[in-house]
Amino acid sequence: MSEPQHPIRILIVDDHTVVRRGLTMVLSLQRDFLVVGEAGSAAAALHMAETLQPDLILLDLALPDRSGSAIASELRRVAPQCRILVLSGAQDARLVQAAIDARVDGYAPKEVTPAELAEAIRRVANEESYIHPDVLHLLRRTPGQPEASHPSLTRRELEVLQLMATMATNREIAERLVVSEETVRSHVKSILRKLDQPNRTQAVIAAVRYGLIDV
Amino acid sequence: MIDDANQEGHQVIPVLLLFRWASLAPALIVGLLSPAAAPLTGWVLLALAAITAVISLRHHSLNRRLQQTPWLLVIDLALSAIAIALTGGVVSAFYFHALSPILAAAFFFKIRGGLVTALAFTPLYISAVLFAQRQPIAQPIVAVPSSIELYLGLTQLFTVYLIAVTFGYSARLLETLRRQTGRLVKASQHLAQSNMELEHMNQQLRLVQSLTLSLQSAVEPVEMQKVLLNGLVKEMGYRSAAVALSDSEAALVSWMRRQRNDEIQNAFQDDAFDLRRAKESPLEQAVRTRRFVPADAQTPPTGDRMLDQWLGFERAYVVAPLHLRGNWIGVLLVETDEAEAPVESKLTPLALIVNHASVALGSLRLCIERTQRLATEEVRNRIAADIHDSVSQHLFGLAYGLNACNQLLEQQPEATAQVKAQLADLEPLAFAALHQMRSAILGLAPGGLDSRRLVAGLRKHMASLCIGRTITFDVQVTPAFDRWPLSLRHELLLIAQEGVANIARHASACYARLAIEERNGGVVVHIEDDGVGFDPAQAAIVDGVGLDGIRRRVERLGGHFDHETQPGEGVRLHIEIPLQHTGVSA
Repeated sequence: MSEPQHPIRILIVDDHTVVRRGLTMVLSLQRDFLVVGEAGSAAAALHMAETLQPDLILLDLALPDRSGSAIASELRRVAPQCRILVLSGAQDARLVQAAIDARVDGYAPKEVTPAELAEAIRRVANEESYIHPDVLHLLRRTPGQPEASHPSLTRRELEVLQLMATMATNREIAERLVVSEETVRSHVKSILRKLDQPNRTQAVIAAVRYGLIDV
Repeated sequence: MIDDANQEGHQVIPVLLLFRWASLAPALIVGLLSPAAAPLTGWVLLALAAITAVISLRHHSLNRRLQQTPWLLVIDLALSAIAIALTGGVVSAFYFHALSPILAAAFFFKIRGGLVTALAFTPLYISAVLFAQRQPIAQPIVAVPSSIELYLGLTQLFTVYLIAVTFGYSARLLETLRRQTGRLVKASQHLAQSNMELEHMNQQLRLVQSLTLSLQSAVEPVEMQKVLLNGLVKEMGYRSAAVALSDSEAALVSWMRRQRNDEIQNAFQDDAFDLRRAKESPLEQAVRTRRFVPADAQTPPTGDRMLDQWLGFERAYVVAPLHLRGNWIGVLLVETDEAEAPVESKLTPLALIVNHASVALGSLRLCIERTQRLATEEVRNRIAADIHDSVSQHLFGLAYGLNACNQLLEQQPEATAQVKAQLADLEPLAFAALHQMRSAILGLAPGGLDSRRLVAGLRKHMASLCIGRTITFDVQVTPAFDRWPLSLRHELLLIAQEGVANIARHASACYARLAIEERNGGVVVHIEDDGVGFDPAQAAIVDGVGLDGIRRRVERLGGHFDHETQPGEGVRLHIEIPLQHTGVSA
């Protein structure tokens, strides 16, 4: 991995010291990461986000004072350039949904391996969105989901969507489907339009809810 | 009818006999005042008196014969007619005597009998009068003009009919009255019996009511068993009764017995009685067939010598299985005062009680089971949350820490000192996860957490945290612990474990003591050691484990936490948790 000019400055927000310690140990070993701070509560997180202006916040949902989802928009306000990646052990689909609805940039479960987490951080920091396939599983089981009529997608678009759910990049999708990256990009655009979603992650989530793809 | 007539006869016979004697009085008076009134009066009087004497002496047998052969009265009528014929016809002093058979007939055979007798007497009387007119021997001294004679004769005949009708009618009225009285007596006897039955039913209802009431208030089946036994023996009057509850498919527990003039006896010696020990006994039969099994005094109820002795039945008894909607709840044994096995019809009141007892005990059992299930579920959820909140987080930290160590060794093989330091940091996390996991497992153990498991678990915990060291650990947990709510027990476990972990990690103690007691309607926990203690101003707090963790748990339970320590003087923790707060009365 080529070393970037500026490392990704990361703020870790988790109420468990043991978790913060483990994360710091692992992330500090990545040369392109720099852990700039640790916060154990929502209040501390808002304060540190404002003063440190990190590139990325690794946000736990279960905080003692307020939930991570609840402070997502405030974090964005105090640190507008900051990307938010949720790292949570929540098993409840409603909590996951609340975080997604708060328009976080990425979502990883606590079962994520250190390598996967590093990859997720890089993607989210790189203006992409990320949602771990395990989390999609949880969303699929959302109770009371409407069996609503969904927009019709072509077979090719469904294939692309299916690969998007694995968090594959456009290039990877192009390689798998043996088409040009440009074609994939136009498919993705069409999918976003048809599903009326702002980005890839939201589109995948919508597709999972509609039952368009298997995860 | 004959019996009735006899009865009636007995009542009127003295009256008839009195009349008979009295009817001889006119003849006696006439004979005394004017001995020459009729020449034969004296002899006739003697003869009739003799006959009346015989009748008086033998009236019982004569009366019976008369009931069977009413025409015997004709003899009496004939004798009276002869007496009249011999003593002057219409002016005869024996006319009144002739009325006594008419009276008897009217009394015995009512109007019809009286009229028949009167009709039979009429020709006899007329013949007697005519005879007296013609025969000088029978004629009175004073001659009566024939017009008056006719008048007298007709009057006397009319009187005969009048008496027959009047007394016949009276006798009928009397009989009706007597019948109605009899009916009234029967009705009143019937009412008395109904009243007794009502009283009996009332007793049953009272027992049923107290069972129902106890269902509303009883928290334990034992209370209800007592109500049932007291009701059967005290209210229903059975000689003795015993009840046991089913435990599993083939065991009876919670035995309870009550005998007349004795208190309730609890618990047959080893309590749990395996039904397989009761082969071919009324008990086994009742449970198997789900029917009442009556048995006589000679049949042993259970076939198990010890249990039969404990039950102490000496008379006939009934074994009644208790069921609710197909679930076997237990068995009721009721001893009667009879020697022979009670018949089906006598079991009806008992069946009512058994039905209600089944409903009451069964419902209570369902309630208890449901509550326990809910409590277990609640504890499971709490444990799951605990695992997620503590064990998972520690394992995450541990995994990431180990991953970092690995990476570090790969990237800088020479950085062993740094890796060592990191590993040393990680070790307490592993132990913390271990102890959290152990508490979760203790809470999940089948049958839940009891005082025995708690003591064993805490000792194990202390031992695992003090490998290579010797520490005397004294643990005392009150047996009352088992009665407390599952959630409270689980919390106490976590509190005790944190206390133990603190001692093991920080105290360097040789002796530690942990006691859980019930005092003044609350739970009191003492945790103390003789270790190094600490400066109260700088209480060391390890993640998730430490005094603050204990304090948080205690405060969440509405309790109070205190600690007392100085460097070198050990640590004493004092915790009080109200039982009311957790919804349990002490």
